[in-house]
Amino acid sequence: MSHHIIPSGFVRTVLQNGVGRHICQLQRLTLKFCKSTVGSKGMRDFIENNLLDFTRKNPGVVVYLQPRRHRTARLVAEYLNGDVHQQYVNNFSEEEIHEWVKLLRSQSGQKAVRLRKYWHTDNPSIQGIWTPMTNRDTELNIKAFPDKSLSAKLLEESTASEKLLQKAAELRSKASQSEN
Amino acid sequence: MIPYKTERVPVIIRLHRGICRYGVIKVNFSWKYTYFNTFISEATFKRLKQIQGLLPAAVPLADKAVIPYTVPAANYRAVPKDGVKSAPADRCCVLIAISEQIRTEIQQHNVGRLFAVVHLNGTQRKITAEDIIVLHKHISADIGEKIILNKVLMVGSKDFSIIGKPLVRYLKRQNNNKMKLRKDSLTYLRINAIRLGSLNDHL
Repeated sequence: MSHHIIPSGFVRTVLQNGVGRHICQLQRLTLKFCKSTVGSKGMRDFIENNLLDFTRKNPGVVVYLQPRRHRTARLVAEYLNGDVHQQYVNNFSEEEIHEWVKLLRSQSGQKAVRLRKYWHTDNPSIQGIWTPMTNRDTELNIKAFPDKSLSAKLLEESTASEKLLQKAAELRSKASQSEN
Repeated sequence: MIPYKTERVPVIIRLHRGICRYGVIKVNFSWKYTYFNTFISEATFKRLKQIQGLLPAAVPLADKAVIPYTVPAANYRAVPKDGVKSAPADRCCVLIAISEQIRTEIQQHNVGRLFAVVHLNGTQRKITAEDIIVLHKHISADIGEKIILNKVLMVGSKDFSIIGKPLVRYLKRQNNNKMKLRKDSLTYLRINAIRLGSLNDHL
């Protein structure tokens, strides 16, 4: 039932991202927090311990710090396609915030939708679409129809009943020989 | 006696019983190192044994099912216009000629757009260059990194298909109709290129 409710979509990327060179889709990251309240404790720890490492590793991402008195802590991520994602991280621990920052960095910025296909291709078929006549023997082109051999079974081995019949015939011939 | 055709001849893949006429060209793939050499299938080998007299004496048919590429396809005849069936021996020779042709085309990088079937996260995915595939998995590679998909089950171009040796088992699905709400971490993979030949050539 969930597929009726959740919005769906197909796999897309921004401007063929990744064909030429990869560009990190996260452009701006704003950390909003309070300097005094307990809810922003994790955020303040993150800023103190991990933020500089993050900025050094990701020179393409602009990081803003916005102290907001007595407001809840949150992360605001702005992406290359213009989308803005907000993640509320009030009362989150330092490690949890670190994980959320990592996730926001590695996302494409598109809305999270239920994907209808897990594959996007511009070249769906290389050998051509299969038809019943694909890879058939070219002898069919010069056959005169109706042809009995074409209607015959494909199984080359004899069936169990055929084997039994054959054995019975052998036995009968042996019996007739012994009588003679 | 007519030499084998110089134009491209498609290799027929074994789709299901009764369709395969020319045998299968198999490729060995291993986890670490991808290489290929042309085989002929066991059934074709048996048939070759039956018509041993028609082939040149140099072919080592007795011990191994591997036929060298250099076997001349001198016995090949096209299907005559009056509808007389050509002998299976001709087809085996065609097969060898085709495998030789494919090998040279790969060496000359003359194969065109390739597609591949790769074994990925327990599933088989058909891919070609510039595709995007989505995995239901978090992988340790960072965004923008390039990875090599080594478990290749099949590579094909417009004119030929190379089928790998490992055949993936088909697992029967159990009947489950429960409604589940899941949050999977997804990974997008962009296919940059599919390359034939040994990995060492390209790294």
